[in-house]
Amino acid sequence: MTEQGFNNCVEQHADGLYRFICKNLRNTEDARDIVQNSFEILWKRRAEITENKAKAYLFTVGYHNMIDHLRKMKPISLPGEFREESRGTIKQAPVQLKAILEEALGRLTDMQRSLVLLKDYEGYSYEEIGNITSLNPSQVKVYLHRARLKMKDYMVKKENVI
Amino acid sequence: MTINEHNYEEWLISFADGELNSTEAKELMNFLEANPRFKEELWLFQSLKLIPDPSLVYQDKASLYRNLSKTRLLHSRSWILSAAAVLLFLIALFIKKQAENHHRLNKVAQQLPAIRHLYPDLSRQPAPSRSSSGTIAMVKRPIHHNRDTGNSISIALQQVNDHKGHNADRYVKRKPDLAFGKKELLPSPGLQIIPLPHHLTAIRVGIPVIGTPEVILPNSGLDKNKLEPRGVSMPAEGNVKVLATIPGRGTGKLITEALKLGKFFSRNNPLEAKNDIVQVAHDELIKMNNNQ
Repeated sequence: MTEQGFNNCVEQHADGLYRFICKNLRNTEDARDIVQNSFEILWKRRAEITENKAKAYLFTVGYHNMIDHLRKMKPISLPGEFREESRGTIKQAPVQLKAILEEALGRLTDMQRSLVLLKDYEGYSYEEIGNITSLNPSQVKVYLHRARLKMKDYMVKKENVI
Repeated sequence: MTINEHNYEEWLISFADGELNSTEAKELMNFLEANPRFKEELWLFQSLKLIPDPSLVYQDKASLYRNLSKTRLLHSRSWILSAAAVLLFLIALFIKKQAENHHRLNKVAQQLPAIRHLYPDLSRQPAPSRSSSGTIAMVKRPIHHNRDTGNSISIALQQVNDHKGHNADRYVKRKPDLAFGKKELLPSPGLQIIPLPHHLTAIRVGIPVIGTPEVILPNSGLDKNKLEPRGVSMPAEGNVKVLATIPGRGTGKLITEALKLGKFFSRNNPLEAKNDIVQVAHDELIKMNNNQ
């Protein structure tokens, strides 16, 4: 990858990667660090990575950095688990679909949330998500479907019905 | 896999995620046509799609961009500036050293009025000017003859690469072939072949590696340690008379001997001081010859 190609990647993917990390961590400072680190690693390996594969590489690096970060912060929960309690944030009455979805997203496990974000924000296929997260497509499908069902259940709760 | 009431959610989610191929999608549509009560769930799953927040952006992209050419230029500029700074420092150091030497020389000249007349312009210049080239030392050669026999003394000019700290005499003893055999030079044009006084068996002139005045002016309040011999036995014994020595490597005694001749070497540049020493040796030979 050329210098220009790398700069194109910054232009095209920095925001998406930042959103993905930020939504998972809900911490802008940590998300910035991980994005910066991801691009640093991409730069070091630019000789091996072509521009058209840079995005997937960035998300892979960013995802694993994020997982490492989460592991340092707390033991990561197993995929598929659903947390009944919120993550300690003050619950506010959702008044819009987006807010409800954010709430539902916040109730997913780290793994589930990552899969949902990769799918919805970046439009990756199950197979591509599997490559990024080191899961096989079947696992991605199972975890993602569980996440969707949890989100749907949250959505249809009486107090959350729009 | 056939769609049914038990697995329809999986199909709905896969459809919402865009993971069904056209055949599968058609099959799902047929199922929903047959079971319209599940259509609402499809809408629900489709509404679960998260939409990226466009306001959430990475603010400091400039810190991520790379510009190798600019970086190289900056590095290059940085290197040039560093080199320039070092050069300026060295120049300043050289000028300071020159000024110090000049000051010391003035001080010495004031303390030794007997030699002041030799350098009337001392107050203006740190040293008398005399051009020179090459690092050449005149070292002793085994005396071939003296006046009694009528033969002439030959003064060999020996190019001594003495940067490793070898005293000329020591160097000659250790590596006589190198000292005399292979690299012997012809006497400089200014030197005459002079009959050797009978009381002398050798004339030794060393190379002034360090040409600063303080190392050749003993008893002047300057650093005497620099005048101490460094494990080298100088040929001041017997009837060998030393006219000059290696400043900083010879003995104060030998330098004093040179001073007694009314000469002293005040070159800051050792290459220039070489000519002074050669001249001293030459003049002294003539004087001694006349006295005889």
